Amino acid sequence: MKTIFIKKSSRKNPASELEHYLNLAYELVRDYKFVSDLMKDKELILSQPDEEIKMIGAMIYLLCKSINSDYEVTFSENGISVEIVRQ
Amino acid sequence: MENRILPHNEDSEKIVLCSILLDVNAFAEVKPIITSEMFYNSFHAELYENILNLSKEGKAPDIVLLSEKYKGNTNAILKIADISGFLSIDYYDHALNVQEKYIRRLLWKIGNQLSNDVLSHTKETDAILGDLQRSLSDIQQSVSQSSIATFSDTVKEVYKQIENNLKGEYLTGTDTGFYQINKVSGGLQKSDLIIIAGETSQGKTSLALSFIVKAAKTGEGVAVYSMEMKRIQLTTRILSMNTGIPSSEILSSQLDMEHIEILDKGVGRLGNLPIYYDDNSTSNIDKIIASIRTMKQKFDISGAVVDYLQILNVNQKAFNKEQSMGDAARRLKNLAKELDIWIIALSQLNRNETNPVPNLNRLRDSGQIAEAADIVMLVYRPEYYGRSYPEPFTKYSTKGTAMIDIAKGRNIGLLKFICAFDAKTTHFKDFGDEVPEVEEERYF
Repeated sequence: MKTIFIKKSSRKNPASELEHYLNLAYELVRDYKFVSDLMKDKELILSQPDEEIKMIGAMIYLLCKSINSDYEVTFSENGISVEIVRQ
Repeated sequence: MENRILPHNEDSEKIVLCSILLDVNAFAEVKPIITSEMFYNSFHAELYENILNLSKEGKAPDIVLLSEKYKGNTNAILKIADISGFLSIDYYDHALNVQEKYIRRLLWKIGNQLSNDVLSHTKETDAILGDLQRSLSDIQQSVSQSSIATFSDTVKEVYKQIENNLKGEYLTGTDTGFYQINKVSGGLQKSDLIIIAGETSQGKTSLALSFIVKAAKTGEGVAVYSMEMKRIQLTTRILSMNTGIPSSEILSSQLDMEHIEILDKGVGRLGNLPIYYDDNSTSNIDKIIASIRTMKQKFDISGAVVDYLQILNVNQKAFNKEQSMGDAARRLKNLAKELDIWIIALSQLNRNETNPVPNLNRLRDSGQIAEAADIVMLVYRPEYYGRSYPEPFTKYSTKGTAMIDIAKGRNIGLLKFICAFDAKTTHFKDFGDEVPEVEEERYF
């Protein structure tokens, strides 16, 4: 059988974009748990009264869904970093 | 009027959009067949419009860039997020599905308009007919734009080819594995019908299998329809050709360890070749044509092989054999053109005891087969008859050799050459640079 490979998009790096938005969110709320929840909880994002947080949350949620590789998010005192561990 | 849900498929729309955003190949493939109005969901249509705009700005349709267009619109961003879970390798099929549903909605609209016009008596009947024809023709044009090319585009392609020829890159089609054939034809060309003809036991199937394996080894998919051989026999022949173990031994004798090892290696090398069989569609031309269409859609095959024409059941009782064979060949030619693939059809030659050297006039049942074909290759093995080669090849040994005669070559001219043939493994092989070749300077 013919094997069809899907080439992953490498046009604009979603991992670094995700890192950027996670750090933005953290700067605003200073709560790792909350930032971490934004990655997977759509309802939480929609329920935010602050439009800026809502928007950043939506971008975080979108980027998490669009990275099809395995990736690691590390929360540290130097900030949040996102690293692709397997393409 | 009752509230109808018009034909659409939201999942297909999402798959198309998601694939465009996440798979670098998808946009180029989908763009020629999809327009934004084909999307039923208005948000999907808007997304596609924005993707087109990004492309016009010279930017790649990237999920991050696209979402930037929706800054401040959380709901839109979350909707894109939902779409991003719909990545599929079958995006082209889904794009065709989106297109098909769009056509159905248009037809529904035309039907409604037609019904109103007919019942309201406000329009002349001729005007109604004219509008109907125009509307239907508009639909056809809107979905077939991708196949239209301007003369100047085509001239550019010709010049590109000339440039490649100058660089020595003469292969424009599928590699046949035979230097001489590649050199005159550029390989097997899409939209060509190629007839391989010969008397019984001259190696028609084997020559076709040589082409198939070469094509498949370069990653090009081929569908095979054989009325004489089952797929296990064909596969065994291919293994035989590539391992040197006669197919009769592979199928019916106990192989020793050494041979089993050789066979295993052969299977390892050939096991993943994109060669497709359909044993259910092997005697009826309609079924074969339908199956080739499916193979093209499913596996994007580059070519198909039909073995052989005279055995086909042509479904047209009123025709005599000659006309029906000609008709089958023409249908295969049209199919090759429509699907943009090459098709090889094998054909028997009438026996001629006094002079077995093949020629076009002996194409059994029909001169119409030769007429429909772009290329006719005749296979001749004088060793089989205990004869020598005809002029100009009389000086060459017939042992383990065969003559290939391109007796008709639309756009490529004519050519005769000698190649190697191993009767045990039924394997045709190129002699490479040492080939005793004589090219005839005859052109149509």
